[in-house]
Amino acid sequence: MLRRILLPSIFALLAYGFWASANFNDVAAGVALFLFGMLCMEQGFKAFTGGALQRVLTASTDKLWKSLSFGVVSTSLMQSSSLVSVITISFLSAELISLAGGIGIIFGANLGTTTGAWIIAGFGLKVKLSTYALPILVFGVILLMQESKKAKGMGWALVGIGFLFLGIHYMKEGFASFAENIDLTQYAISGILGLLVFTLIGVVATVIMQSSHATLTLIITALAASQITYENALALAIGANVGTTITAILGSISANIAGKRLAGAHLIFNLVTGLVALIFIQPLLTAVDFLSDKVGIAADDYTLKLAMFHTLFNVIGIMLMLPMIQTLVSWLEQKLREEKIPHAKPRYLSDASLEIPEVALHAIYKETQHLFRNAFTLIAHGVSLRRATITGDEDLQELIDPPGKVIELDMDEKYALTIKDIYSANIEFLGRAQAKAPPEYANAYSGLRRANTDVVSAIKAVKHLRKNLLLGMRSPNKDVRHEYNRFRVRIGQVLREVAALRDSDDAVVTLLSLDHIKVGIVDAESHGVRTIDRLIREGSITSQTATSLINDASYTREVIQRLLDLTEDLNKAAIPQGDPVHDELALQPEEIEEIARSLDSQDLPQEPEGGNNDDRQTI
Amino acid sequence: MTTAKLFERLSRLMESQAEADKKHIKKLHEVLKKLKKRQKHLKAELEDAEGGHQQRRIKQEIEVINVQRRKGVDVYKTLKRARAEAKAAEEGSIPE
Repeated sequence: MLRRILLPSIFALLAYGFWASANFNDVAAGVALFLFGMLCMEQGFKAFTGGALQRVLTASTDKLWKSLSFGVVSTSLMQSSSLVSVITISFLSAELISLAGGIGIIFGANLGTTTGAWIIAGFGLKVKLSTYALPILVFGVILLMQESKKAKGMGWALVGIGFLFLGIHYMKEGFASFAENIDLTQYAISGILGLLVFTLIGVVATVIMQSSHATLTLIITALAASQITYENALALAIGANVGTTITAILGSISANIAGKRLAGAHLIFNLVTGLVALIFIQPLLTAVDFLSDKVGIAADDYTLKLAMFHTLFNVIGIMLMLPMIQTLVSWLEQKLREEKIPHAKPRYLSDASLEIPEVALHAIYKETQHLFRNAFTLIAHGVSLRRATITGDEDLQELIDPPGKVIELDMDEKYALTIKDIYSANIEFLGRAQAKAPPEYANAYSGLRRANTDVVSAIKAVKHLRKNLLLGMRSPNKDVRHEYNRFRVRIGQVLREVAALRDSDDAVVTLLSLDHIKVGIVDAESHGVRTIDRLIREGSITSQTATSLINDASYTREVIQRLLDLTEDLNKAAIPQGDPVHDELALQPEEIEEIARSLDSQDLPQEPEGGNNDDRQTI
Repeated sequence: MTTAKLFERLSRLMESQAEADKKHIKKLHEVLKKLKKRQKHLKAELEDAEGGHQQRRIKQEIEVINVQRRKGVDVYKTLKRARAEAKAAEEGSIPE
């Protein structure tokens, strides 16, 4: 219920925001670009999985000191801890680095980011991310157009970085008015209250501007102009350090659970560091004075002393948190658990049943039926037919004319969820059972093995068919639509008949019933071939569409054939060894052909001759 | 192996073959009965069927069962005949 109203509510809020504020447009676009950049970068880094990047990253993060150094160096070079955080999250999401390695990088990034304060305070320089966004995008897009997988990967990564930069830029632009309105001189407060209030302002300002560098620039310039007190500036810096985690949290929205854990680690580190800095601010100030004196910073050079403070409390944070890194990893893994979608598991297989051949055969027979039941739904949905439509009384022929309704489905995901585990378990069980069983069971086991592989082959054929089917079944060209819907109906019809056979208590009668389905297949195929020939002859479809139809007809045939084979193998396994009745009564291929042909004179009801040539199209 | 033992084994083999034939005939009879019942049901269904597709499918199934039953009846007759001949031969071999 909550999920149903959440998205419309977000849309409504966004729409109101777009209408009410021009700045909000920039901010929302910034967030969207930022998130899109994250996705692009993940896509890009995945192209390097197993390649050079993984080797470099693995080598750079296999030891804690290396991860730390990697974080320090990369953040110092990029001048953005936020960017390093989100890149690290994407590395982690792509499983290029471990969580402990990622946390090391984040800790290092916190130290690396303090170089920014030194640069701003010492040289007044700052790398502007937005300046680089457009050239990076141009290079990225050019690389995307290359054939090489690695070049494409690099292209995605660059495009991702470009969008990240653009996103941050838009967010900053959008919140420029907020930043202008934060008049720090008006809020000069001393004592603990001042410390807390300015820490909060630092958090809020950084969350708004999406960059601790931007907040620090503001603090340093305000401090240099004596608009804020040194004490308040320190509190703002602590707040900025905590607020910067919002970028990582935002970045982890589109990341997997590992990315979310890393964002959690980032937040915990910065919160702990900020808390320690707040509690021990007086000893820290003494230490800053002492160290500043040692490195020759003038006693009244508050901007550099602020940079020193920034570095010092991050170093202390790292020293405090480093020994607890493994505890932190375990805690995060325990608290942030992956939402597990249950995979269908085998129901009837057990090691105990392997000991008695008859029991083992029965177990694998039942499990193959279980696999088929799951495949039934997947195949039905794959051709956009509801299970209830197939098992119900509805005349499937009525589906041929109207545009089909697509059932949204990720076939790979569904396969992994409902088929893969059972299939793997069945194949393993069959191997073990067959090794233990007496020779008279060999045929039954071979048949069941074939039935299992037939299930998977049928699903694969549906996956191939689905690509064009989803377009063809809704095609404005009536002839194309009819043909694709006919593929759906043919598969649906066979599924219906095969399902009906499951109710039969006699395996021989079931097997004999398959002959009728076989006649139907031969009949439908010859009708299909004749129809395609007619459509080509009449110019109702293009030659490209015709070849698509021919290819997809062969996928349809493959699905149907596999469904028949698996039903046959399943039922043969249920017949007592040496029972000849089925073989004696079953029709031979020529008899099937003859029956299909014998009814040719009584033609199937035809669609009106000739499609509408105006809506001819290629799918 | 003594003649008596050989004879005993042979008669046991013949008995098990006779038993298998009996089971075979019984199963065949059972299947033919089911097919006949199905065919009868389909014929009734054909009368009520609407639409060319449905009628065509039913006709096809009736025809399939027709051929299957014809083959089955041939096998059934052959088996029965063989069994009767075997029985007659057995009876003929018994000394008066």
